[in-house]
Amino acid sequence: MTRRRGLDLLGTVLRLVVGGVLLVAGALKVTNLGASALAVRAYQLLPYDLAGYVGYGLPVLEIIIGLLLIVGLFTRAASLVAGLLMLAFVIGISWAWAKGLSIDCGCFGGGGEIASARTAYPLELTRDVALLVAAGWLVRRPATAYALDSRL
Amino acid sequence: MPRPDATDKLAATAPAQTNRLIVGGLVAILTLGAIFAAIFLGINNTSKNTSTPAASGGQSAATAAKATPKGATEFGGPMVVNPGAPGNVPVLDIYEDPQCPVCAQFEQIYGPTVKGLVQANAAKLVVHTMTFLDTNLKNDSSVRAANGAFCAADQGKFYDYMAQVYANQPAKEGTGYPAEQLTSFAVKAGVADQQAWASCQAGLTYQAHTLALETNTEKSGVNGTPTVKVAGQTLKLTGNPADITDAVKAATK
Repeated sequence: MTRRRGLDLLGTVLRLVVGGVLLVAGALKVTNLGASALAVRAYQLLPYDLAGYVGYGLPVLEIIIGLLLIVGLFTRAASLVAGLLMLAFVIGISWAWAKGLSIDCGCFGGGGEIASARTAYPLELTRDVALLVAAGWLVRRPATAYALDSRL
Repeated sequence: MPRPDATDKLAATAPAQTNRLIVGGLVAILTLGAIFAAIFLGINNTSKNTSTPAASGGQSAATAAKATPKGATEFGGPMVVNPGAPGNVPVLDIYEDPQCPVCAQFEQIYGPTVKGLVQANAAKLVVHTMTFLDTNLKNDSSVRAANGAFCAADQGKFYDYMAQVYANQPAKEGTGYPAEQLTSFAVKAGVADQQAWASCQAGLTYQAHTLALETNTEKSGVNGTPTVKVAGQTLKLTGNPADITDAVKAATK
């Protein structure tokens, strides 16, 4: 296997991981948009109305970006959006942690206030930073194996 | 060897670039469209919830829309349990959702202490009944339980009604409160005019008030239950009733 082929395959794996996580996260939230809005409000970061719009719109965006990454269509643009989303999540979770809030990140549905012993900020941050790195890699090197990009 | 003629290759890539643009444009438009549709759907859902008139209360929607229970500070405002408390005692704000399991635990541990403070007028108890768990649990039990408590408030039994709600909360979160159970709470709370309570409950007279209260509370920055404030300061609850009594004592002038 050439080095180039190896990197292409690595890109495919990263694409499927980032895309898969986004698709699952979006699908779990899209069935209850009201709860999604509540989860965003629990961060106490955005004004009331804006937090609602983010809560309603975010799951749909996650699903679409997830699908694009899984099939490998517009990999660079999709990874860029995925990376920006992860960056926003990292900022949001850090804010909640720093502010001393006891919330579930609401990443995969749920969300809102929980007992402080049940918070999982280090785990949530590690996961999102890892996904941010993976998305960053794909922005720099969007060429991957088995991607629909090559058919266009 | 002569350089290979690139004409074919160029011809093959030119339409591909066009394809990319067309498909990309379509994906972008569809994405934006779907996001706006979701936002529109979300907003529409909330406003529909808040404007649903009382189902069958025999009241016109217009009067039901702004109906405010006795003891509430205003339409969409919290309930003042003991308005007769003197001016030197602090306000004790309690934020609870009828379906929140930790709130039932809170009532079990701190309830008697809070009741004692109210009876002695050692603190002015203000209850902010929240109902966001209806959204999370996809039922309407919090709003119906809150409405039941507000109907009881008209007869001075808000606090006793809420005590019944938390004492009889279903073991499994999300089971909710059947209508008959909410009626039995009114009986056990000592609501004198059961007929008036029943008609108030059947018409969900205070539904709009309840939903406005939820929105106002969220806007004030409280998003979780139970939240307890003494003189505006959020308390850290450790499971010891002294958490509240100490803070009240410290804030009494």
